[in-house]
Amino acid sequence: MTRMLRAARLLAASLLAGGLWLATAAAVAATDDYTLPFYDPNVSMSYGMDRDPRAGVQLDYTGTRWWDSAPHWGRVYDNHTGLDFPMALRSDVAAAKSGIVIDVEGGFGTQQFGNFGNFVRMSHADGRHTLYYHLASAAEGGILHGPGKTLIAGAMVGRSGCSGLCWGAHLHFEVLRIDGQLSIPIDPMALRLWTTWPGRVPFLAAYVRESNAGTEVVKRGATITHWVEFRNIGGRTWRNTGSPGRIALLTWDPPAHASPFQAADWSDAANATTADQAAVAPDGVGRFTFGIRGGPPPGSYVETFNLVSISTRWFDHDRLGGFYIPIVVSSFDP
Amino acid sequence: MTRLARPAAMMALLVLAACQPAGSTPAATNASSRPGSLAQDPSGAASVPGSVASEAAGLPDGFPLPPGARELPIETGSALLGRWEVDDPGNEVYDFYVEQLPANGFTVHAVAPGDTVAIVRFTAPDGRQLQLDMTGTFTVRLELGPIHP
Repeated sequence: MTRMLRAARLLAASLLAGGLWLATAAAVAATDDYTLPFYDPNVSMSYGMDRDPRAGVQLDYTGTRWWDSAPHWGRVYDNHTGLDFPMALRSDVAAAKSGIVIDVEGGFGTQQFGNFGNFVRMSHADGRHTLYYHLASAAEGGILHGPGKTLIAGAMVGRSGCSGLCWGAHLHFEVLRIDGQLSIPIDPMALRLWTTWPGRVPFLAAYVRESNAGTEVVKRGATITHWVEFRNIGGRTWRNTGSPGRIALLTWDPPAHASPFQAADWSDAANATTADQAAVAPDGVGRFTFGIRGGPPPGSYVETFNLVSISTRWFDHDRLGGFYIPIVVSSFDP
Repeated sequence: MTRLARPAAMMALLVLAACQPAGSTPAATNASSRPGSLAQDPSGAASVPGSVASEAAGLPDGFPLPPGARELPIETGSALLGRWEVDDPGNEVYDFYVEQLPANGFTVHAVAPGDTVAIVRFTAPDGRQLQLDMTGTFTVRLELGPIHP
């Protein structure tokens, strides 16, 4: 191969790769798919779906076939139609995708038998349904919404329990393909229905850096600009428009308190800003730029912030490194 | 706990154990006193947690068995240490092991409960790392063996 030909091929390959990367990035930003149906990133799947209907033969999401009926940790057990996630009783359960609640049952106590126990069933725009089984009873706060309620992806569906066929506290999550009157379980693991692979919890961020990691000094009555960057380590794309669901930086501790440092660019006394970028896909870094006004009398202060999906869910503040800004309000120009 | 207190506590436990009537153990007493717990086997033969296990070769000493557990044969060449079945709801059998393994000196590392199955991984007092698979609905099958995928 000549040097020129090789260079041309390399250029073509890199252009193609670049195009593919852009296409992939755009696809991720444009079309979020399913996320894990809970918020705690420490929860892991104990058993997946069995894609082989024969008793005594199991086909797990990796394509491995097990010629037995023993349970296989992290993979599968015989004739299992969903995904099991062990979690403490009354853990928060999230909608895996935006949709409408179409059916609920909330009358079972813990470990009362009925096939599925308390559950929520949702219908989604892609034509599929999701099921959240073994929830705590309505009286225990396990069921939060009735049929007809629209929930955005990541909104809280209910709380886990151990109702129905349940040997220990866990969530049984199921995705169904609807074929006429039939509801056919499908495997979100094998089909890679997640926005990210493997699935991630909807909302999670990690602190990256900020414009001034030390103390901000601002003259009383003046405004300075501060920015902070967080990496999106959750499964949903952050967007700076739309409500509910817009990702914003709000005051914290207590949540959404009126800040004495509100600047003119804040949308209200608690809401400092949204991401600078229109969309921050999973693994991307979002920058949040906002003003800090020297409102209160001269002195030393601390203002604490947290990310939130508006009207949906606060982020885990500890994973943001307990983000706060030490602020000194001065009588003089710093 | 101080160094002096520890031998005293152990002595108290030994005295308590010696005071138990024959055929009774703390595990069996707890199980029978809990509402909705495992039924006591009237024959008494398999109602003592650990009694079946101690008779089978290769089983760790003190491995607890639910009252009424029936031993099942093991295929030749199998790595299993024991197989049993018991006529009780799965959640009760699972709860039994979550409580009784630590109470009998086993260290539970991880549990994976599901709809009609559960796995418990633990270290036996003799140091072996083992796994108990539980499957079924109202008759639960128990399989004890080395940790496997």
